[in-house]
Amino acid sequence: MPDDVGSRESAGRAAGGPSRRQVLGRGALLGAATVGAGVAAQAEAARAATAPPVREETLAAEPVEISLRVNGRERTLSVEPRTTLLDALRERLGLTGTKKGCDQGACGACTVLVDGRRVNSCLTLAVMRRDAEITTIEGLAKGDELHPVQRAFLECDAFQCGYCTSGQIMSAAALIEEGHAGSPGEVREWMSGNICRCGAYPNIVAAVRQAAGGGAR
Amino acid sequence: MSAVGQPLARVEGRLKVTGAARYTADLPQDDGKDLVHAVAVCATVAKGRITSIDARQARAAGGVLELITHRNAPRLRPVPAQEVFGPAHETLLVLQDDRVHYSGQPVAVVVADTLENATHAASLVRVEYAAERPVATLFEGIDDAFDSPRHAPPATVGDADRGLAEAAVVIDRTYTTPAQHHHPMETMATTVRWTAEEVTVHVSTQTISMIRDGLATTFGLRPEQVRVVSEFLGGGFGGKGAWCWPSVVTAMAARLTGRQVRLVTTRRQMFAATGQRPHSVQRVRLGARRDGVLTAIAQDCVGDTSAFYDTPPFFIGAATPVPYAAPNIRTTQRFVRVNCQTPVPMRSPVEGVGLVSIESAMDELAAELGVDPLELRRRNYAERDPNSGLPWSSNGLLECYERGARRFGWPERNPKPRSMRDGRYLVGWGMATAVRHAGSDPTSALVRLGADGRAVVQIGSQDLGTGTFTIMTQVAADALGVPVAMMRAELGDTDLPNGGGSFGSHTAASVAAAARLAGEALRAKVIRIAVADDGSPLSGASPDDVLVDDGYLFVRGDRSRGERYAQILRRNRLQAVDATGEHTPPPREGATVARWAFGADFTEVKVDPELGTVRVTRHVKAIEAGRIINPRTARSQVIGGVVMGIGQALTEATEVDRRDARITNASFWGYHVPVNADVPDIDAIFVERDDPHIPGSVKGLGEIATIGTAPAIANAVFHATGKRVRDLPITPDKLL
Repeated sequence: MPDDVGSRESAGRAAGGPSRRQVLGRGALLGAATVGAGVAAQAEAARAATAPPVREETLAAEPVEISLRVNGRERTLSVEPRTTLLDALRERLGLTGTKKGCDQGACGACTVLVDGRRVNSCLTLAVMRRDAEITTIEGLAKGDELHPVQRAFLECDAFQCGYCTSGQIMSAAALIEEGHAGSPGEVREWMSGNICRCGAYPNIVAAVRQAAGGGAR
Repeated sequence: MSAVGQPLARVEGRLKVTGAARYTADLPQDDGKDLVHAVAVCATVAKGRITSIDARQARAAGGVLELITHRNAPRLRPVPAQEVFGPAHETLLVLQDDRVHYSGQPVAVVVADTLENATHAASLVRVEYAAERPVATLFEGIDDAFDSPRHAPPATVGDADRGLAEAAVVIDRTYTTPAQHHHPMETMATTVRWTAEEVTVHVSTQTISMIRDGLATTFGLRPEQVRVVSEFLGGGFGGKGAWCWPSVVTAMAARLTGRQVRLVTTRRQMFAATGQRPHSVQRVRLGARRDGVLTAIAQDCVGDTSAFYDTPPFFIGAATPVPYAAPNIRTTQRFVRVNCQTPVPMRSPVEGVGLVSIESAMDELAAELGVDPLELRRRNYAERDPNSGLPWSSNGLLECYERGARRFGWPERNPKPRSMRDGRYLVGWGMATAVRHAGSDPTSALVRLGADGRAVVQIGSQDLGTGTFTIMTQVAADALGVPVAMMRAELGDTDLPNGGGSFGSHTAASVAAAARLAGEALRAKVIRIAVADDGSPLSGASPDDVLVDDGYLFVRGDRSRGERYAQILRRNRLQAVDATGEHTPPPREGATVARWAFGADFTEVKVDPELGTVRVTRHVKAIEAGRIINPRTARSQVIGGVVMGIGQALTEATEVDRRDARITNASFWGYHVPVNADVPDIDAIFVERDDPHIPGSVKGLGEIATIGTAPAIANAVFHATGKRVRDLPITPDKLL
């Protein structure tokens, strides 16, 4: 998986948000505050617990009001520090197009764009993404006009059940922007962070190539 | 123009690419204001008794509304398999006593106002066990293997022992296949609202009617008090076909709290939520003459079943159908009780597992005799079903061999193992035969035509993602005689006419047959109205002489004498007209023909001799499944089936610690399903056949798409390396 969790996280930091260690460090000081934020976050918390205490602003275990810029709209919501970006989108903002497939950063179903970079939204906390520009599947089309990747997925039948499709499309849109759709082999590698259990991979490759303007093969 | 046979794009496709398709966990009932969340606490031992549950901390945690254990759970009534339609298999009694039968069994359920609070509180529940020594795998219990003739009767033709004694060559080999989990991308989700009037259930299931009947039985309700909805399913592969605990405990929580409760199993919990493909050991003996003609096939299988269910499920380990003309056949199945969940079907519980050994052994026989593997199979082609002796309803297997081999380039194969190379990679070509029983289930459909000329077809079936919405639309549109744009499909609700389960490769055949009958009945009904209507140009015509094209009804031979559906309805002041269709499958008892789908897999692998890594580099699958309703969705289904076969061959196994019977790789990090980079171009060929014994000639694709792929890959690995791996999956360590 070339676009692994590590590189996605560093992308998040580059975008100017607080690091996961900072946020989780606070959470760890508050005992249980990170429980429920996903397995990987818990593992991170365990590591953070051995790090020196962070003396910055203190986040309480109770909900805090944050604003997120989602699909071009400013959204104010109340989340606990342990709430993942994925759960905030789905459970608080009603944006259920982004899916939970594993909650462990292993399947890519929850992929969204944070400041243009693809991120597993189950592995990042909502409070870490304050004021970031977040794009979900609901924000990809321009009104009734589908994004070229959405259109290509339809035309190439690049899905069956559709559950992983939001994440596949968000990854595809980003990797085309990144210039990683130059050949079928490159697309296969760069799309390997998104599992499709229906096995639509060959059609996904065709769709990404078509949307990238590189022909179906 | 007929819509059936056309590559119509998925009718629900736009909803899926925009994120608008609502799956169970996306869907609050009504406004969702009273929605609360349940999280299961699962056993950390595989066998024993619960000695104490300390829930004080959990109950005191923020937002907790209810905590259910065996001490306060509602009492359940058993759900024997025969009481619910579909592969319900367990007398599933959840949270009813202190016994633990498998690791991951639910021992408590926490309900809280938010998912975070419920997850946190669940982590605070302290459970103590008096652990006992579990049977971790079938190898630990193989000396206690037992027969279950009621559920897995042996298949016997002739005398296999005599056939083996008479053979010039005997291949005697033992193969093992691992437990596997289905892992649909959507984990098992349930939302239940329980009121005095009705229990409303949104659930990820392959059989809404089974969940309705099961919940009604276990909670002592009437089926009509339970409504089950499942509009969009995020895959299933057999894993959402069976009666399972997540739905039961969610209903308990809804009943106790009076709130709308949602429970979404975690990915980790999916390793003990909905059952698994059984672990198996398969001994195969093939007897043959020097020219390769088989004299006998004997297959003796042992599979695991759960320790707590007294009878193995009927659909597991039924005798493997033998796809070759052997005069002497014996296939048997025995079981070992293991501390695991009860096995469930996974993309053919029978052929998908049992043909791994037979197809591998055929390859070993070919190598032994120096006969081409494809030629060996041709020499043993069965003119009739070897198991029942009945003639085939139709059989395109030879054409699958021929067209698949030609597309693949099979004649160029150098028969010698390790003879083909691509740089430092060893290249191997392998093939296998696939067969799958073609059946269907009792299914009802309703088609309603409105005065605006638009129609809807309704069936209480489910769309796993395979294209059921789309093929229903195509078949019903043709039957009524309207364009597909004027037909809409509705499914996934027990308020709709009763449909069967989406499993066993039955859905397309069942749904298409019922939709066609309903559409034709509605067409006949409107024609009767028109010919009796003085105001209609069709007045007085014989109903048999009225044709329909594109929503326009006219008299045979005079296209000018006609009118549209909408005109007939409006003139007769009818808001809508509807008609139903009932599909009743032919009984298997007393059948005069054998109904099967056929396939042939051809595959190329490249093996790194230093690392032992195997990559599938191309794959051709030819399938005869009767008539294809939609070649576009069918092709996707076959590609996906091959991908799952790649996982079965190379990466997928649920690993169990033999000391404590706990699953050691319970995540996508540990359980490797194929990803994009693992999958090559896959070529699907459809050999189409009319089958006079099957409505619409629809045989179903779901399982034949996967069957055959894993043994073909195993055979290709042998051809590449000269090493025969008889223990799936073929991981690098087994090749070094």
